[in-house]
Amino acid sequence: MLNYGYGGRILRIDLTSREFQIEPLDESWVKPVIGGRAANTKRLFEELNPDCDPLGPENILIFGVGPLTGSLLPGSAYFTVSAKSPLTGILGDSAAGGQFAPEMKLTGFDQIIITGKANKSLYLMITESGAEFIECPEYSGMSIIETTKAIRDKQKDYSIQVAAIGPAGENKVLFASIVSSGNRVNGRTGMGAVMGSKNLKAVAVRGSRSVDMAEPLAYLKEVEEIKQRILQHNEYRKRYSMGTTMLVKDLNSIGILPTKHFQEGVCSYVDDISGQKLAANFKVKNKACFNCNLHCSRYYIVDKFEAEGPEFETLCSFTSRIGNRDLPFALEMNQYLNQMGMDSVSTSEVIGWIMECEEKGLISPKDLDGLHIKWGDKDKIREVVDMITHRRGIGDRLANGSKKLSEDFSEEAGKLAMQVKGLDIICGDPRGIKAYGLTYAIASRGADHLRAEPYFELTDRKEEAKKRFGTEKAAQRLEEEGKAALVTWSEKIALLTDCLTMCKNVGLCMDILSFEKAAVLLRAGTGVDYSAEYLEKILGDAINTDRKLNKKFGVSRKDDTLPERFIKETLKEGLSKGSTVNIEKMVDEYYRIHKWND
Amino acid sequence: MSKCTGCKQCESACAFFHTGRVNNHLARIKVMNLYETGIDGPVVCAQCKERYCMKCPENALTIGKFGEVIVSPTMCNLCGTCEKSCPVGAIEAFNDIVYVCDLCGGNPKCVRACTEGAIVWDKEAVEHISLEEVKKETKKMNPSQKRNFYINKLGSEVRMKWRQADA
Repeated sequence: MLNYGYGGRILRIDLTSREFQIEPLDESWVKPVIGGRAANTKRLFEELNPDCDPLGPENILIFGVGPLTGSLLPGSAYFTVSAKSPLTGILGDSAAGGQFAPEMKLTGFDQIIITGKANKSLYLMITESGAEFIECPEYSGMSIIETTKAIRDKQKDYSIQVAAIGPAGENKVLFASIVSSGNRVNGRTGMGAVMGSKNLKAVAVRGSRSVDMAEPLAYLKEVEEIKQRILQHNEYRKRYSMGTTMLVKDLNSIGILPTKHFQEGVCSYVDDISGQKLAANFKVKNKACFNCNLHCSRYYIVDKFEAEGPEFETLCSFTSRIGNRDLPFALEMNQYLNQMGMDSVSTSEVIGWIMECEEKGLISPKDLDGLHIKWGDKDKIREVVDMITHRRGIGDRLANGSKKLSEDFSEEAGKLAMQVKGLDIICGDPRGIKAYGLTYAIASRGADHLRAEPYFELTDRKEEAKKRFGTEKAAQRLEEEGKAALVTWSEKIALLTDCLTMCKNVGLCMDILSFEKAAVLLRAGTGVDYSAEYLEKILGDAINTDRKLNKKFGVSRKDDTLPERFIKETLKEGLSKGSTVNIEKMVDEYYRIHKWND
Repeated sequence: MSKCTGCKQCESACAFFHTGRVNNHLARIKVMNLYETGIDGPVVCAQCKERYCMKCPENALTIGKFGEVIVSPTMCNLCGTCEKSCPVGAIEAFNDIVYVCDLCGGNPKCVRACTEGAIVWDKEAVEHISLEEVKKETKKMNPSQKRNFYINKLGSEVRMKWRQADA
């Protein structure tokens, strides 16, 4: 019996028949996956037909939280949404913080498993007693915040939290996102398109249960210690002031800020687009996730635009990556993408790819219905983003993502699509951060850093590196040696944060979480007998499950690589000048450590 | 209110202190996240000038030494009069208990929990704030709607300052 930490129940929803079922969550089922992302993947592994159409009723969409979600622990405000990705055709998932997860936790459901397809657009109102199916064709075309407000007004309850899709999700843009808490985005792998394909406009949650801890006082003691560590962390002020947008200048200073679609790693106008400038000129206040004392999110106002955010990925995606030096325009785009429900990285990649291919003469405007778009052309970018959102005109093809789009063109053009397994690469040039390069290559949802977030390679902690990974080079970003060992360790910590469900900025980048600390928190929280050794083992098993599931989707060793640019071309300027990624060697070593053959 | 980030550490501290549980709906201070305006703000008993809640038909409500409202659990019959009369939704009956700020006996946990300095306890402010204007507009609302209305109203002033700063 799961009496503590866990909600202890799962909710199954069939949208076709509009019926739901409540089942107990079995301790023996969940203990080896903890919760959150690994639990979602296990569910997909056991129940999903791998050959299903990602946009068909058969696909399984799972909202998952973990045993410590919504507790007093700072950063424990995340939830993971998983399904087969329509963008990549493989494992898809995406996490978000804010206020949705803690409210979902209070409904007493650790997983909400959604299948089928509604015959009319509806939203789910989920409470402790189950789900209500509420038709809402009148919300069609509404933004995230309009939908959230409409649901709260209608239910006359402002404690309700809503995870919704915008027009992009309704139009099944393959990289559509799900957005909750107004501007908190489950951005990657197109989970919003899966919701759209099921005619599910929103999932609203309102709980009334408690998150009871097995040993509340012991748990509280750990929480207080973690809060102190956050406050005393040497990056606290910087993160408080800028959140992840501090990375614009940080990455530029080491020559890995994607500029003009990864053609350059140093941006000449970095001060115009930096987190510092954003904080000084447009930020009006800090925002925070549930129970977090870091408050690293921000609210901004600029002319008639305002929103929470942006985080680094969106900021870079709509500035240097596509040659735009106008910060207010990027802030406008952040609001637009959040409210329309579309992933900023994938949107930027489609645009950047066209810009570079046009510049190089690999495609011409007549290939794309007359579309001609130059670096930083704001009016055109605005227009194209709107066309993608509504799948209007050429936007219909662009909405299928950079990989599918580039397949219609020459091999040379195809190679310029900065993606792995169909997922567009995030904003960090792997030529100057090799462990990140390896992470993009092996990540089970496609090019992604969050699967391991091996920030350790940027720390220069040489002695520790030698002790933990066998070589000092593991703590040096331009080296390749020891990176497979580093990633093998940090992918487990990253997965651990996803299972608890905790923020990676706090848990990983600020070095708060370890296997030992997690075991203490889990024991005090759930009363289940977790140990550090056990956690390390099961996290390894869970990573194998990701792999096994992806094999069912047809993924193999050859897919674990990087775009040719990073392997063959060097950067011409800055502190990562002259460097390329010898990716095959690192992946081979990573496979050896994992005892994988194919 | 310009300092509130919406983190709800105050709610959690309040609920945990009073009930030993983590369930923010058991808190006596309630943070509203108004996504459409970017405003976050807590609603808690303001010890208003009018003391609307005090017309309890059972006389179950009294005023304590800090100006706080004290509910007698033995005299209260959950009739809902206090909940209906509060203009801002700061007193509410839930699961057979009436929830209202008791200032934690003089050491309010929410104030301590707020790392942003957004919550202060002004001991001199007893019966200073008038809610008469709000009362007129929130008569037919439930407590959640009242809180939403009130924070929206206070938030519009904050937003004016933001706009001025931006211009």
